[in-house]
Amino acid sequence: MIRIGSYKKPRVQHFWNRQGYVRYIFLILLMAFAYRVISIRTLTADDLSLKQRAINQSSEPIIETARRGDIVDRNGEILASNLILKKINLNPMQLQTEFIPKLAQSLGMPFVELNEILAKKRENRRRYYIIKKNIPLTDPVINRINKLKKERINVCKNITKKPDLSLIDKALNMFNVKKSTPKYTTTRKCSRQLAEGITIEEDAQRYYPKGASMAPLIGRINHDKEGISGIEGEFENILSGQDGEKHLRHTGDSSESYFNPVNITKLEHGHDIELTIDSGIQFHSYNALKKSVLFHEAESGSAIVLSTNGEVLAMANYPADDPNNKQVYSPEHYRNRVLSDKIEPGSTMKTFTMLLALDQNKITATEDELIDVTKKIGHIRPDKKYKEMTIKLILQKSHNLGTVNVSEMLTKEDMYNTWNNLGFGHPLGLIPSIENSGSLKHFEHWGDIDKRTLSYGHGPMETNLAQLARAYLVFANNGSIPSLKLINGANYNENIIKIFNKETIDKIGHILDSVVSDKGSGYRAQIGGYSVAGKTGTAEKVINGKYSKNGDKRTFFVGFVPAKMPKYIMAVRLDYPKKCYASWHPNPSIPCQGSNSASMVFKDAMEKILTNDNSIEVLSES
Amino acid sequence: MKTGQSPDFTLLTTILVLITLGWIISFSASLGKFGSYSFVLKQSLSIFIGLMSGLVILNLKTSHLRKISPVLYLLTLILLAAVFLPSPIGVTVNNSTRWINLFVYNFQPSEMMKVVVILFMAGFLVRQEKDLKHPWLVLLKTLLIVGTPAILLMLEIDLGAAIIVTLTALSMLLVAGTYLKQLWYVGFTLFSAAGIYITFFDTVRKERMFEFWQEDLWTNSSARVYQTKQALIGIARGDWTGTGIGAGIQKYSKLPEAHTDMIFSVIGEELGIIGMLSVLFAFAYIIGKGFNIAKHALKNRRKYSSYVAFGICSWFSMQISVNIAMNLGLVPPKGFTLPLISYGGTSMIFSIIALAILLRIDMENRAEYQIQRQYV
Repeated sequence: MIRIGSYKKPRVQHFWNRQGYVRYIFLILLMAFAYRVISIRTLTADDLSLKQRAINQSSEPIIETARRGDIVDRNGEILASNLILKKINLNPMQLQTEFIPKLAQSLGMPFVELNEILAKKRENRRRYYIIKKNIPLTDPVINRINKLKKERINVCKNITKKPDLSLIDKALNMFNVKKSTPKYTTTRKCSRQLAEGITIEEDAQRYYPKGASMAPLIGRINHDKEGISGIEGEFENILSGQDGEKHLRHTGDSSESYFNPVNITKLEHGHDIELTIDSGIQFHSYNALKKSVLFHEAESGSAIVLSTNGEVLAMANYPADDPNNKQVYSPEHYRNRVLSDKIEPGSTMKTFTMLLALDQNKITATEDELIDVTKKIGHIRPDKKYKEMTIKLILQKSHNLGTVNVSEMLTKEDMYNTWNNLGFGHPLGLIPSIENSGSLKHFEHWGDIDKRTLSYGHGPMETNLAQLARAYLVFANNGSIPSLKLINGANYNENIIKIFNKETIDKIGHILDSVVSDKGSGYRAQIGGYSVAGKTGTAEKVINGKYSKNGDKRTFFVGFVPAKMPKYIMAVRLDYPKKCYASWHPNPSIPCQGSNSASMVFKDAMEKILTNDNSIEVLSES
Repeated sequence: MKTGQSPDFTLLTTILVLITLGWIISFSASLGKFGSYSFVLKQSLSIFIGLMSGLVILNLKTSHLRKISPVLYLLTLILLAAVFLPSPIGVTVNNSTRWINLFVYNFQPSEMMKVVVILFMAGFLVRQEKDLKHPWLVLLKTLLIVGTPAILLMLEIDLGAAIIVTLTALSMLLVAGTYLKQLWYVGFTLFSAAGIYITFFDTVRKERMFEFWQEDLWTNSSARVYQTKQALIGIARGDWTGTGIGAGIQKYSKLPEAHTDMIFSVIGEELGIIGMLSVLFAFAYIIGKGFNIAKHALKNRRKYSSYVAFGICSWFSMQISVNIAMNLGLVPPKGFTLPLISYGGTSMIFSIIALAILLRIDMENRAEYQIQRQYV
């Protein structure tokens, strides 16, 4: 009979303590792991928390490149746009050497050359190499490469294999009884393969259909596709748009990530910009300018054509580079001299002296009003040619002393206010970053000489060509001037400042019509069939504040057509023409002046502009 | 004979929960990695076979296991050698020859050896109880028992299994009451031999080991630590609550061996710190409970059962510790699976079998005295 309770638990031998030790060792270990599990989230690696690393690694950024906006002229003609091109990208590490001869053939380059390049790239472990770029879609290279990518050729590869050791060898080897150095066997494995590491990628190139004729105005973009000069640079923000950045979550091959990308920045394509420029007018202006600069061996030339309401129809500069040719780049040739050079406009300002005097009734500008030009005023000496002159004659002959005589009737303050209202010294706001708005010294700081020189376009003022052209808008707006406009749809100051009376404008306008006649200094600007008004100007080159002794001159012409109710206002400037002639034929040269250089550009360009404009009636030949 | 007891409910539940969790996570990891259901199906089959075998074991007296353990040992040794037979019998993957082709799937005798060596070793220790006083003799015999499979395992390039088998046997020797002095000598000799071998003859492995601890993990761009870095990044990504099952991304391309060795990191990513702690707690419970069972059996003077239970627990503990330490970036990555969780057919089957033995021993522990007397 078993007595319950008689079973006495035996004393367990003391070794079971050892079981306990082992058990606690492992349980403590597991507790340590628990601590580690919690602390991993706070770890940092290279100043980057592990969590951030995880986030970075879990998503893939996708950059969507924004399309750069086009630049178009007032008629929608493209001045700058994007060409879609292709480029060929090689991965030298991936490309099988067997394909190199065929690739060379497809690319149309010598095998030796390509092989050498690729060998060098492989040495440097490069994985990305653009072998050819800016390839038009029509280029046969594209087709040849595409064909090559479909071709399979025999590719052989050496494979080193670890030797198969026998079991005994392995055992001996392990105990270092017999050291068998592993002999790697090399086997050659060949298979027909497709080429790897050749990709044709999209490439965009900015294209300027008008070439050099617009270059200083439109500017260009750099390698990073950022506008660096001209309209491209000034309106970079509008044109470039904003690249979109999306983050795709990594979920292997699941398509879910493509439908739920996290938008970091929204893709915004660049906006188009429409200029007030008329390509046709620009073309004629540029051509005339180029021809004249070369003919007169001038350093440079610039011209601007305005419409009545202040819209810039053309803004031409020479010399200029073709922006499509990436090999040539000289910053000088992208200089928009119309806006960025400040100049003394010379005799072209005499017009405004006369306008002010007439407006204030200091003169009548009639045929019976004679100005005495026999006395020296300040440093300006009389010439022997004239004793008394009408206002018309002063302007026709661009007579300095005559003009100074008139200016003596005017106060400094009135002159300053008028010049100020005409916008001299004030920014135009067309391309602010390159614009040099010139200067107009306050009349309180003028001496008598300053007032006198100002009357014929020198002294206390400097201006750019666009400001000068704008001042002449008074003739097209009955004595008022509107702001200049370059971008259609942009906000420009719409205030129109009234400066002169209509009668004054009509009278002086009529006189300027006569300046462009056989009797006036602007005789070279006459255009058959049209009434042309204008004023020539010549300014000596200023070097360190002093006029050049070599007789280097800037020559100007500002004119408008038709003389009554003008439609086009054009200002031309030639810098330091060296050879001027009495006519287009190279007769013995004469000193260069606005009359024999700049005015020829006006005629040359305007003749063509007018021919294309049917709205202006051609006068009878009488 | 029936024990008259049912398996410990909490322990059984914990085991089944871990198996289920492992099944889901390895499903997630292998599906993510391979995009194919074949791994899931194979794993389901392994779990099914494991559970069926477990059911058989639960109804099998431990004494039977003791009786057949020498046969099993010999059989396993033969199987271990059989992997070297030419294909289609032997299967070599990644330069390691570990598998026998069973056509449906590949059988890995080394996993079987881990259990069998415990069963055989326990019997040996009981038989040699008196010889324990002749410590050198016992040690020699132990080395023979362990050494034979260990050498075969090393030839298979399955160093992990060789170490596990050796250390399990040594730990069993420890608790069986061998003199510490001799054990210390042997342990010292083994470790220094391994140390000398690695230092002087296996410079590659030495570099690999030292590089891991010497150089800061994040400045080390070596491919060998890549796996560790990615495991840690995955865990960091999971944070407290994890991304949710299936929403982890490390398994797709960044984390190698996500479904096997690195499954704990996947748990960290998909179930977060909470998930990892739960798994750790579950394992701690199983191990703690297992050691208790061993102790209990010893109190009931059932040494064989005690040694077996202890052997199973220390094997599990070592395997879990190394695997988790590897996932947490504490030791260099090495091929160790996480029992019950990692993908792997044979390993899953024998893990379940081992735990079934543990449950059975517990049932026997609780059996009435009369019944218990028949147990070993």
